[in-house]
Amino acid sequence: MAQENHKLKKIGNINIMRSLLFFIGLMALQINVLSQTVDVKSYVDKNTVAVNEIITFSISTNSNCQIYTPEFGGLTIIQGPFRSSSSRIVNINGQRSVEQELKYTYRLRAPKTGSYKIEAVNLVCNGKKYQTKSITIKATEGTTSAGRSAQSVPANSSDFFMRMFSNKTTVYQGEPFTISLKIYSLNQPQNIENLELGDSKGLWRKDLNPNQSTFNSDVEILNGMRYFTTTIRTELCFAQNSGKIEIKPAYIAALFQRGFFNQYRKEANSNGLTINVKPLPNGAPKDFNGLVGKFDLKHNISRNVLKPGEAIDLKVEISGSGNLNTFDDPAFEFPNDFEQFDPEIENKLSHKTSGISGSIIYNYVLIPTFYGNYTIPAYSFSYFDLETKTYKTLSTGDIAIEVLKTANSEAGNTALTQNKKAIQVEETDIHHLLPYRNNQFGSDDFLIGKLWFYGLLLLPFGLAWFLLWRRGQKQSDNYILSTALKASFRESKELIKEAKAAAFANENNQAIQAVNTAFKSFIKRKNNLTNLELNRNFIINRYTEMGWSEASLSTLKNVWDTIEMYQYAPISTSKLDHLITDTELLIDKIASEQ
Amino acid sequence: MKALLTYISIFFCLWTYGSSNSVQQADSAYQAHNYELAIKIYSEIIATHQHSAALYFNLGNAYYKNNELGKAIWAYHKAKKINPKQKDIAFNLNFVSQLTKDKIEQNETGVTKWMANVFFGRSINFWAYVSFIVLLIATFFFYLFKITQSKNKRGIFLISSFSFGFLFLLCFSIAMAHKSHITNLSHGIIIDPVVKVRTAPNTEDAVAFELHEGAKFTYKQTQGEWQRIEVGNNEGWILKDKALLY
Repeated sequence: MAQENHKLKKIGNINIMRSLLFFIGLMALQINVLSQTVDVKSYVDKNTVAVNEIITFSISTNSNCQIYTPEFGGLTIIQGPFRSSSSRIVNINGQRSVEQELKYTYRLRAPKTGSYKIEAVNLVCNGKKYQTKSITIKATEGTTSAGRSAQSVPANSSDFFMRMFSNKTTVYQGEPFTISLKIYSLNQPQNIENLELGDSKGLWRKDLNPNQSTFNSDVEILNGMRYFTTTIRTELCFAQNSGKIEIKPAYIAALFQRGFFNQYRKEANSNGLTINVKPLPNGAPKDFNGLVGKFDLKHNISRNVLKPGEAIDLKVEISGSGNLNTFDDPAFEFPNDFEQFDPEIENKLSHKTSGISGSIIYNYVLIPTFYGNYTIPAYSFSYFDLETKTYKTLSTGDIAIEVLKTANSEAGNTALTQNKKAIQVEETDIHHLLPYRNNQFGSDDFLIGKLWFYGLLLLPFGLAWFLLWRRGQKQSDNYILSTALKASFRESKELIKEAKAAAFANENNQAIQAVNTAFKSFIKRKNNLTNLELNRNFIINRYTEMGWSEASLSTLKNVWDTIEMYQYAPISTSKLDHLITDTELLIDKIASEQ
Repeated sequence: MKALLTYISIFFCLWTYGSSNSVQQADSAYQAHNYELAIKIYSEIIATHQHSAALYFNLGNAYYKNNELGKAIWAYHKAKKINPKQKDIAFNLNFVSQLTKDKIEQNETGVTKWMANVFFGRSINFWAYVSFIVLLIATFFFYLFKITQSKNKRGIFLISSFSFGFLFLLCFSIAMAHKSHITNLSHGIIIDPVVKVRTAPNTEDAVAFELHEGAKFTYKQTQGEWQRIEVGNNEGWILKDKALLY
């Protein structure tokens, strides 16, 4: 029998076109079965079994195939082959298609412990040869229970698990990569109850399909078992710092259907991932902000020459692909005389597996308010080009704008109509150096505390005291002296007047007496003399010493002698008149002396 | 002839080393962003006992640009003591003080600030000169009082003399206060990044609190290597070389 099986035997020939016609007629769907790639699989429901435990072996295909009887390598066939077919409608990207599955099932049993190998199955589909993979079955002693049915709840964890993949294991800081989570299960899960993502420090993550509600499941054979696989999440990631970044395992809980009413729940944790992040090379330009990828910068200005009050549209477009999430809005330093508004931003970015790509367009509206030649300083940014592994800088370059001077009288001259604008002061730094104004001083330049300064302060007191002392001195002698002299002078003048009157009345003797008193008392007072000193020689000597002229001296002598001579003798009237005149002159002269 | 030339060249060397020129050297070093050299030259000039508000202000600028916050604040305070009216000094001091970490209540009352602004904004010997002139006027009035006979005039002169005498005492006091304001070390600035303020002048004693660079304190006394300081109402001891007094 084994030899008979050895010969490749045609066991089935299915024409699926007939059944398809039914679907087309009934549902009027767009079906493109023939364009599908041929898929052949062989699988078991478990690869480790106890002796005598029933194994289900299936061969499945989606095409029109001839299947040759497989070789089971010592496993006993209990039942089979059963033929079954199923079809389902799949909706991918809005395009509907029908997936047809044709399945042959065998029930097998391992007669004793050991390793069994189910050989690869050969198929011929649409004239081409296909081959499935061989499967190794391990039979152990174990708790054999012949009655245990294949429909019992699978006990081991290998019937539901989740795996995490990344498309790159070594990336540059800021280089985009994706991680995806894929679940494997023997039965199609009914519903995903919970998905918790593991921590990942220093990683920017973004779900590429955040609103996904339907999931496409696939079939994959792993260790000879057929699993339904579903990629439940794909994330775009950027490493934000260099080094090893660990992505912790994710957790999932899913609901499965058993029978019609029964539901059961299974949980699984995925594997963790380690991403090796290379730092960006040194020598980044000043305006580098961590952008990695490939970018382009375009700008367009509506006009360069205009009048005040007219508007300029400045369009700046940044396009490319990379970690555009780190891109900061351009910081233009527009001239202060330009009225500016917040830019209108057109964001045309999309998240793809290759990174964030698309463009951002900034539309600035500027209105110059004053004439002159202005320059909008260049806006630039740098990025790390992953292709050439170098930093590249993009710049708009300086933009020159000429604002024309309008005639002062011209309407719309905003320089005239605008309100006066306060000068804007930005205090972002300390004030600059101060000039030196020759007011440097030494530590000992203070007057306070200096002995000579205190001496100087005493000076006014000393000066006042000295002046007052001098004044006191003068008042005590000279003042009294001079007042007495003045009185004496007035007295003598009176006497001379009396003498003149006497002489006029021919009272010659009386007149001469008056002249005598006037003359002598004045001389005495003037020269501050005692009675004893009042004699002719002393007086003559004194005035000679004072340097009187001969004429004056002789008048003095004459007056003195005349008075002495005629004091007791009669005197002629003419002589008396002469004497009186001389004496008066003499008194005036003496009074004028110092 | 050769000897003469040597003398002349030596003279010129000395002359160019003079105060004003090295100040210009320091300024140009500052403008060339060589702040360390600028600090060195400014400090050398100050070490020769030459002071001026501009000198300390510029030194403060150099310290600030050289990332020495505490010393910059100290220099600005020095400059402000000499010229409290200069607006640039006040601006820079305020600007730099905002970069300090500790929030310290200013215990400088409005009156002292006003006093400083009104009376201490002049050159250092201004009030000494004023008091001398006022004294001269007072004695002059006294002299007039002494020599005048008229009773009315005598009264006026005596009152004037006493008024000016009182004014003299006032000016003289201000002059003394001005000197002590500039020369007395009353406050200090922390120049180390973090300074532990201890309860006693000993490294083993407990730390009362911590001060950061640029913090201003009131200076109390010095004992050996330690200074007693007061911040707010808290007292403590710090090592001498952790702060600069002004």
